[in-house]
Amino acid sequence: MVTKTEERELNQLEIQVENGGGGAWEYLCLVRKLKLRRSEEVLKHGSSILNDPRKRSALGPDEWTLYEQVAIAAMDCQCLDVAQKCIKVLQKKFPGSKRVGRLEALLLESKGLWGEAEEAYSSLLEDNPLDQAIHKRRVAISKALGKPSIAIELLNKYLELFMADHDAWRELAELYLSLQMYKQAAFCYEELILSQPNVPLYHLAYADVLYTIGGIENLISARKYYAATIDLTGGKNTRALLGICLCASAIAQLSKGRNKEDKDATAAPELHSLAAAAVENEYKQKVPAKLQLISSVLRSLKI
Amino acid sequence: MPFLLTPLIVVFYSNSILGGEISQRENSDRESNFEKKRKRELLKMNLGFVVGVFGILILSHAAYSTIQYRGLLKIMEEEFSRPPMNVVLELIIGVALCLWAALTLPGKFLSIHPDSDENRAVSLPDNSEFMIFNHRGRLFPPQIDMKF
Repeated sequence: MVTKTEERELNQLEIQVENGGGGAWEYLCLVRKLKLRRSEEVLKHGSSILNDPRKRSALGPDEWTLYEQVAIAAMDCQCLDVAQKCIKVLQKKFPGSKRVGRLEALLLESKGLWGEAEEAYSSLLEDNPLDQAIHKRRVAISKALGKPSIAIELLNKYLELFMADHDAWRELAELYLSLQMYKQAAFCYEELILSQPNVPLYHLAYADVLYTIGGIENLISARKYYAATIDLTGGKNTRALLGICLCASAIAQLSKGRNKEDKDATAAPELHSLAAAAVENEYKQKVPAKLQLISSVLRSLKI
Repeated sequence: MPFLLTPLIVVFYSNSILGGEISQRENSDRESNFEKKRKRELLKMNLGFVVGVFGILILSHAAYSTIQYRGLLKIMEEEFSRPPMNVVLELIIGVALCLWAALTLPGKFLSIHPDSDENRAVSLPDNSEFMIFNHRGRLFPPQIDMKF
């Protein structure tokens, strides 16, 4: 979970490092801590540190973590010889290590040799059948081969063993969404909200899925979860505010045929007008050039 | 009296060690804001430690004089209502110093609001354990040479 101060720090460091100031090692540590996917920058700055023997020895024992980070970034950018060299150095230092074995199998994956990678992972699994990372890589292989149903099956089996893995639940939800199985995706997000109710982004994603499924009860629930997101973020999440406006217009459309009492129960006019005002306020502060666009959109939503 | 000087000696010694550590780091990197902030925080913590020790010493001195006063009252067979004014003053000063030290020593307090900038989640980590490598970016590899 990336917080606002961490995001600001990351952007500052990135600009500083790109313009030639120091701080490359701090940038790499921050990327590793926040688990972000910035492969090109990591590759460029990491390899500049590793190429300089003075800087390399100044790192001490963190040198090997940097080798691993640069190897994975190189595989993502398809610089396979760089990755091969990093892995060779790590193999010399840590012969027979499971972590290096995983990196080798990852290299096979990035070369596109799915069969060999699968075999390597199964052999690694025989030695330690409860290795979480290897199970996840098998799911990734099926995903890369374009077989999301097999990936979903493997991921479900994995989640039966490791029910507390939030990243896996999120990945399962995204796989279901790619296959348009919205009810199952909603179930995954419900699991996530149950385990971590203080993360507003799960409420937001759940509300999005409910809004997509449609129907008046789902729209009312979606409005509630958008409101929960706004509560948890202090009103700073524009997407939740817009979500409330859209829910308002959709509910108004669907409840046209109903009688007056039902309509009064579902309508929440103060919430809608407040959300619309907050959206216009944010646009006025951040992007005043596009204020016209958003005002006309909000006006058409009311109708 | 030499008992009171030991915390000061500890403070100056630790500051000199800290100075030695920082000068050994790379000179090529500019001293970033992080290191400056860390040095300032450590100095404040050391000052808080010294003040805290003084506060505790003053409080214990006040306790000792109160015990002596009670012993004196027992000899003179009078009732003990409250300690003399100078002891009360010492108590107030001791409490104030300890309070200031307790607030300064732990360093920066963390925010508890869920929507403050430090706690507000802006984005979730990009699931790199499920990362796949056959994306369009693999057609544009950057040119990197490795010299090791």
